[in-house]
Amino acid sequence: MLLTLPATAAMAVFFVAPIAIFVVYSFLTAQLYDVSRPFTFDAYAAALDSPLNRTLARNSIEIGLLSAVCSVALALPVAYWLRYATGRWRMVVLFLITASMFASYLVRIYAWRTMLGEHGVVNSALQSLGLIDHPLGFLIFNRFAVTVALVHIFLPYAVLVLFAGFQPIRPGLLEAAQDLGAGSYMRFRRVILPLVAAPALSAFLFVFVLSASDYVTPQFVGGSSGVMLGVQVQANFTTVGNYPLGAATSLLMLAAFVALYLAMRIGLRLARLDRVRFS
Amino acid sequence: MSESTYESALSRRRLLQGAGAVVASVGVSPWLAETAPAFGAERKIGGTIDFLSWQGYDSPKSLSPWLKSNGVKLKPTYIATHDDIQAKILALHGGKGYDIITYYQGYKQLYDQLKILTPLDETKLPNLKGMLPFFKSDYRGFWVKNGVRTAVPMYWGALGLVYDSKALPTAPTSYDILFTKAMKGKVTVDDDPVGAYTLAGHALKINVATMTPAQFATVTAYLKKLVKQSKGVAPSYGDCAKRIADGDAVIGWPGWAAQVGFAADSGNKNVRFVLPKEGGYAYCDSWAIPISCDNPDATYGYINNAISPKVNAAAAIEQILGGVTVAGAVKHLDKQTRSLYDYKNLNNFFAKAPLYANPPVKSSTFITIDKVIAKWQEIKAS
Repeated sequence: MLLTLPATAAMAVFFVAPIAIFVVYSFLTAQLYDVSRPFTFDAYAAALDSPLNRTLARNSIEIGLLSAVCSVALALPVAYWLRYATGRWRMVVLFLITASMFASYLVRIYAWRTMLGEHGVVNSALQSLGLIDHPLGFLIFNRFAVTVALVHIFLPYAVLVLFAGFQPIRPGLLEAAQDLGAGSYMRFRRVILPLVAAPALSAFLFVFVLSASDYVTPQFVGGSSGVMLGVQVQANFTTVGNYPLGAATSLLMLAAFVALYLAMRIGLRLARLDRVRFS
Repeated sequence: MSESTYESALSRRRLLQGAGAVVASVGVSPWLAETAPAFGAERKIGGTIDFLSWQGYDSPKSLSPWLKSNGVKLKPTYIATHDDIQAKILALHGGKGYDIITYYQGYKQLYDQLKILTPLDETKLPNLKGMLPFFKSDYRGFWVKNGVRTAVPMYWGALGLVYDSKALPTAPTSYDILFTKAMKGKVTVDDDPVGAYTLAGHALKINVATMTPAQFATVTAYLKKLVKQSKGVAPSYGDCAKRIADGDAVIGWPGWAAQVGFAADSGNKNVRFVLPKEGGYAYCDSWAIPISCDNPDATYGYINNAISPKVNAAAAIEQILGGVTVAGAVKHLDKQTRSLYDYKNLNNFFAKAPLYANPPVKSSTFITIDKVIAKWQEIKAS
């Protein structure tokens, strides 16, 4: 019990307390960069009534889903390869995958500006190959650029989560399926997928939540179509000075994430994938 | 006593000791804070100045010699938008942290209401005497109001357009260029709600500080059209300059002369600033000491040094296209910087590029600042 005290204290201080403060703020009355009583639902009403919030929430969900789907789709084969095909090079490959996480978040975003910009690496390469006459303008400052940058940022996390998911699946299990006549698709569908469904869901939710709530990437590579709800939350706190509205919008986002998590848990249960064990 | 019970009791004791130490330190700290001024009289200039302002306003070449000679360290925090200033200071909830800020004249009313400025002690700023009459005055209460000074004008100039002279060899003469077909997707707009409404209002001959709802709708329509011409809003003036420097945009709006330097730092020396025929709006960013200041002696020294003639001139040159605020500084300017403004008749310049106040914080007649900011968020995502 005592051993759990530091973790419990950390969770209480760094997670429960901030959320509790947000909850209280979300029900207070907004002043300019300040709050006062009485308690009210005004901030929630304003957050839900705002057409702007609805547009940005839709942007966030679409970009978050796309980033999560792409990340998991790319991470699955990498994690599989890492688990079963890298042999003694596994640690080196793992290091290379995690190395990109050592670079600063902003540096990685600016790297994509350099790659996708009008005079960036991609356009220059295409032009020098004679494939295009003029730079492709649609590569940057839109939803596509935000998704590419977010997938790049969160892909290593998805690979690590899925690699951990593959770890308990012994190669012998796949060999047994093969001996019983299962082809590669059948092995994936009937053996691997049920076993990695739960870790894949974790990776998906991890990337989705972080992508959908991001507020830095959309500002640097997003353009108007890439603006997300996180940017509005930030603006409520810094520019507008409406703390209750910022808190209420954040909590509504959190509620949406929790709802999505529960829905996916129910989906796993209905598909009977939540109780699959390795032995 | 079993081992586990013993450990548990020990931990509880330690926990209580720890809690006691925390309570004691919290209880003593207000006393320490109250006694601090007693040491202040004997204290020499030193320590760290926590600087909260735009990148470049710390004018490293001009202002650091004083820091070095006085053993003062400057810890800069650069802002992305002006609103970062009040947000960061208010986030301290009355605590200490930032020693010096600059504020754009339009924010004076808001900052008065938020009570984040301290009245300045003019006896600690002897160089104030040498300021140009315009900046020494209580012009519209921006720096001195009801006899109380809260700011010392330092950096000023105008906002208009910045452009890449390689892509646009002829300097734009009107804001109309922003709406041409050729500029579709070539415009970059700064994420500065007040700046955007002020400049758009100026182009439409509407004063942002006294906007009626009908005028507000007109300016909003102008801005929506402008943002549609762009590839989105850049999160800061620095990022806006980088977009031009990288070739992702050709024109930046509102354009700030300092962006010429930012673009040069990013490797593009072709970026230029221009004030089109419609003029622009002037800014005057002034030093101020916020309520979060805990090193006032060094901060007063820093400000006083900045308005000494030679340093003031050097800082204006360093800013690129900057103006001076000190009369004796004019003679120290290089020929190019001196030719930018007619110091004998600054009123002419401020007629073409007026110093506007921001929209009011509260008003039943005019559009208030919160509405301007909220609408800007909508425009950005439109």
